[in-house]
Amino acid sequence: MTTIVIVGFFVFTLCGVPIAFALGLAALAGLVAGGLPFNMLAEKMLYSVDSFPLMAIPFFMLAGELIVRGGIMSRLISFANTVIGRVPGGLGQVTVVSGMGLASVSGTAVADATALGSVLLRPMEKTYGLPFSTAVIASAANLGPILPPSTAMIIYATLAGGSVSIAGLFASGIVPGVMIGIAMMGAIAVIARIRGFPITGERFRLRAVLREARRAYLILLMPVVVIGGIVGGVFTATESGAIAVAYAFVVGFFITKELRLADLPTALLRAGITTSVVGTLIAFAATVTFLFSIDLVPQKLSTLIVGLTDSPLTFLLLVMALMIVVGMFIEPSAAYVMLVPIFTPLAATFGIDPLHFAMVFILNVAVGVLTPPVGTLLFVMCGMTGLTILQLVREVWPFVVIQYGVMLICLFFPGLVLWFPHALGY
Amino acid sequence: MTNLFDRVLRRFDRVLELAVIGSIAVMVVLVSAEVFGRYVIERPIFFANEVSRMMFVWVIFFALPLALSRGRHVGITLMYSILPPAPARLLFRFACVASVVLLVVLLAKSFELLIDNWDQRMNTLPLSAGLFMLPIPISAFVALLHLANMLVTGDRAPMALEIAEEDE
Repeated sequence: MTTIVIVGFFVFTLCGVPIAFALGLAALAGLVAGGLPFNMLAEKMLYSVDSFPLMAIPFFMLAGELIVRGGIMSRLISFANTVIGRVPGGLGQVTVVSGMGLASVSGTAVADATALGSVLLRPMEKTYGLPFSTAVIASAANLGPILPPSTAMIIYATLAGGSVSIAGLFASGIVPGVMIGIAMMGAIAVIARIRGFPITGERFRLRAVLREARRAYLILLMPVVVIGGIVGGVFTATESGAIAVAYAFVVGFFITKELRLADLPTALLRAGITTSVVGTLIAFAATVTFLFSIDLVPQKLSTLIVGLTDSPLTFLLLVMALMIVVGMFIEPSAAYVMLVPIFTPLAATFGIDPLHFAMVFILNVAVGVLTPPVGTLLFVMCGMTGLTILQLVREVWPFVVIQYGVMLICLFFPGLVLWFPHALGY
Repeated sequence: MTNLFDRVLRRFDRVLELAVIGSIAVMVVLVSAEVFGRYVIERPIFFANEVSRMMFVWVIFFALPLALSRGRHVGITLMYSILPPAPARLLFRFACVASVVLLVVLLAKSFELLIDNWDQRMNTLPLSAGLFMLPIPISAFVALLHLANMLVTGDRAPMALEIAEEDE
């Protein structure tokens, strides 16, 4: 049964069937092979997405939409510019800080890339050229799935079957996310020096910082409410997502006054369709996961890997090497849906902390969107700017190295990932 | 005939778009109001969880055909660019027919489950639990119409893109 499912999935995928449908077709083939009723397909689909935690996904997507449409992003950028604009690669530094700020409210790389690109691409391009500017925006946007709240973390926690909590994962993402951000800022400064980019930002003045801080304080407070509420145990991730949407709506409508009621249907529809793409993958994969569990695939794989090594570190390195390859070819949501239910129990048999494994896994898959040949973010940015993949890859590789580097540091030093969630009791 | 089919498809899409927009709006309002009710006026909304979950299921399935027609479902289209036009067209038709088979099974089985569950009540409201299942056969039906349209017109661009590009 398992062989038929796997072969079926690859054949249908290679024939150009959307991955979600290929999973459904593979599940159908598995049901036929196992002599199981087709009703299971519809049942499993419904139950897999009838989930309160998964509801956070459209909320954080919608919050991101409202932040851009409500002019909130511009105020955040102005604030960042007064603080760190006048350092080497100032606009790049502003992009990274803005990306971190945006990632603290929104949850996906693609949405964040669109948001950052819509405001920062033009001014950056004039100073640094299009390829470098695009690479910085893509890399900063890729903090979306790493810093909380993160759609990737919500999907992972849901698929991991209760071995990790969403709040615990959110707390785990803060240190690696900040490490990546700081390392990227350092790299931008070095590249700016080497290439002789002019310094463009305003001189640092406390009065200007305070003025911009006053304009932006409600926005700067947003991540505190959203993330603080979740990791502090006040709200669930889903409730926090709804509050983020309400908050972004109120700020955009009453404070910045740039959000219009006419913007809402488009924002809601876009969030709905993107949610459906992820949800359909999860729904069709549910039957495949069920068939794998009937065939005891995780247990068999576990026996096989334990036969190869009994070292948790070697196991982690093997899985991460595999995930680097997977990340290059498969879109992140599909990778989570197919591999989290298999690898999470395996990591547990090796005694690896579930939060540690989850965070390293997420960091690894997240970088995949910046690596060819199937890097979603590369395609989006090239579509936005007209660059070729090769032009973008030439500029983005230092940031890819940084993200993989932080992933490896977190792999070898679990304490970096775990101290904050453990301090909070997760 | 094609124009009429297009018009009907667009009408179906418009209804689904409104359903998706309405469902997300209800989710946001219900969940926010529940938090407000719980912390501020200490009166939680007892049906918020169940109804918002149902709205979420509606969003996922009602938007499924919309994502299909906009090419938003993720797929690997490498073979289409490698193969010459004629085999690529054949492969595309095979992908469409395979998807049709899946959706026909899904339509039939989800409709059976819908009928079976229609008399069951939701936990918190006097409504049918079958409402959770309702969007699956509807979305399968509209997605089938889209696939039929793609098969007839041979328009392979929208079925699956390798990127989740922004559509507006």
